[in-house]
Amino acid sequence: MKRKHFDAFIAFAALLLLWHIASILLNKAFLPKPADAIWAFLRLFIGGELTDHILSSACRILGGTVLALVLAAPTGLAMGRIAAVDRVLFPFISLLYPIPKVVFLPIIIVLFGLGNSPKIFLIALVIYFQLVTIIRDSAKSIPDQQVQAMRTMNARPAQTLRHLILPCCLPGIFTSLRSTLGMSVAVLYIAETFASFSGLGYYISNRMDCREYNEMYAGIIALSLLGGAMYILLELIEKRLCRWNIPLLDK
Amino acid sequence: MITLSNVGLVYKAPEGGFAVLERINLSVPREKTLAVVGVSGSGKTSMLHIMAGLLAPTAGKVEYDGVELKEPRREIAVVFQEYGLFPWKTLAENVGLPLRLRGDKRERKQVDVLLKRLGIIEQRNKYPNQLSGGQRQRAAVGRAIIGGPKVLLMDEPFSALDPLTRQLLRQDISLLCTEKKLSCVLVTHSIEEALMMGDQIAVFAPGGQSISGVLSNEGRLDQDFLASTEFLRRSGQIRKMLEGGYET
Repeated sequence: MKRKHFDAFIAFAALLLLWHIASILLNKAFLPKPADAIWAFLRLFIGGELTDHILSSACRILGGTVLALVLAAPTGLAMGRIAAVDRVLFPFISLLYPIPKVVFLPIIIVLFGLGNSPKIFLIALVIYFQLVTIIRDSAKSIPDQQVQAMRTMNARPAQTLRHLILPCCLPGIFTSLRSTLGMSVAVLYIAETFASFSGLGYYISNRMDCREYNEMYAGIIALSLLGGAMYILLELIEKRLCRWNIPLLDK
Repeated sequence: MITLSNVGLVYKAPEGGFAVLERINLSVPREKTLAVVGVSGSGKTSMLHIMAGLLAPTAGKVEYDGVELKEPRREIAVVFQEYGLFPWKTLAENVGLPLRLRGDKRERKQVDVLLKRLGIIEQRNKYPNQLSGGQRQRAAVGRAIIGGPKVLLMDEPFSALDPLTRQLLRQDISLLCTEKKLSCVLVTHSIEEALMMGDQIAVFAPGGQSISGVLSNEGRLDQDFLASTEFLRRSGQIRKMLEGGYET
């Protein structure tokens, strides 16, 4: 077993132990023993009861992330490389960034209805500002010598974008996506507890209302595993697309 | 070739403009090496960028073969101080990039021939962060010359290298420039380097901004030259030109 995996296993075991001790000390129904929660998770997962909720939540996170990236990449790159665009847009981004977007959920539901759209839009809205800021900063920090090297090769703007700007910004984009993933899961939970009938957020709050705590924790485990799986997926894509960064990533 | 006539450069600053270059008159000799010596901050790199068409002078004019130089041209290549290689491209991809941007189909073959000539073919699939300083510098030179330029501009190309690698690269690059019939400009703060590689040596005036003189020289790359009285005499002459304005 690799050292990295061994460390992760030890951390996981320690967490379960703490959970177990806490459940014995508290001795309350809302904190069952981890073994009961894990057993409930396995039962529900194998029985297929969680499948639709997991798929709904995964699609919403992916949809929101992709939408945010598609909107943030051109804006951030333009702000980072074109001073005039930065002068116009940066004050708006700076003003809007600190506003907690979750408070707009009721308005977003009125605008987009009850389906997937408001949840996807809310996730995109929350992570858009962080992505746009990081992409802008990455594009701004491209070393002058590399820009000049492209100029001496008579590169056209599209070639400079493809061979210099995009690859230079990729590590920043992945770091930002990984750091916003936790935020996306939290926003998803809030969005799914509000006028929703599917998704892990809905399932967790519904089981809590029914006082079915083992099932509630099974939902929490599923949501955690979903976040973890997406984190690993992002890391795999990053390793594939940013091969030159691999020694740095592995350090 | 490249000619600078009364070239001046003033950078704008909030507290008013400050002059980086004043009345520079220089021409790059055909198929020879012009070494430009000056202390740090004397404006050498700015002058090189003007020669490359990367920077527009605020006074005077720059010409390439009698035509005013307003933007970078394919005939003029640059080797940057910190190599300017792209970390996300392998050595072969970095070297072949100028051909790729032109859509040249013979890219791979030409890259391999040049990498062999530069002695870095074994590293063709490595990324710049997996290479030594000398290998990176060879790659930077390869990328500069693969497109068949007429002029090669080099900005302190050996400053980050250890003495042994520096000596090897000086010889290799000099030989390559002769083989490819390149006119070269070598910007350096090392008098030794200028004397070893330059056929002409332009010396920046004390405090920078203008050229105090251009000396004829016969570049000699052998180590014996460094111990000769001729070397001592010439380096003393350049040192005097660099320090001329200062009275101690």
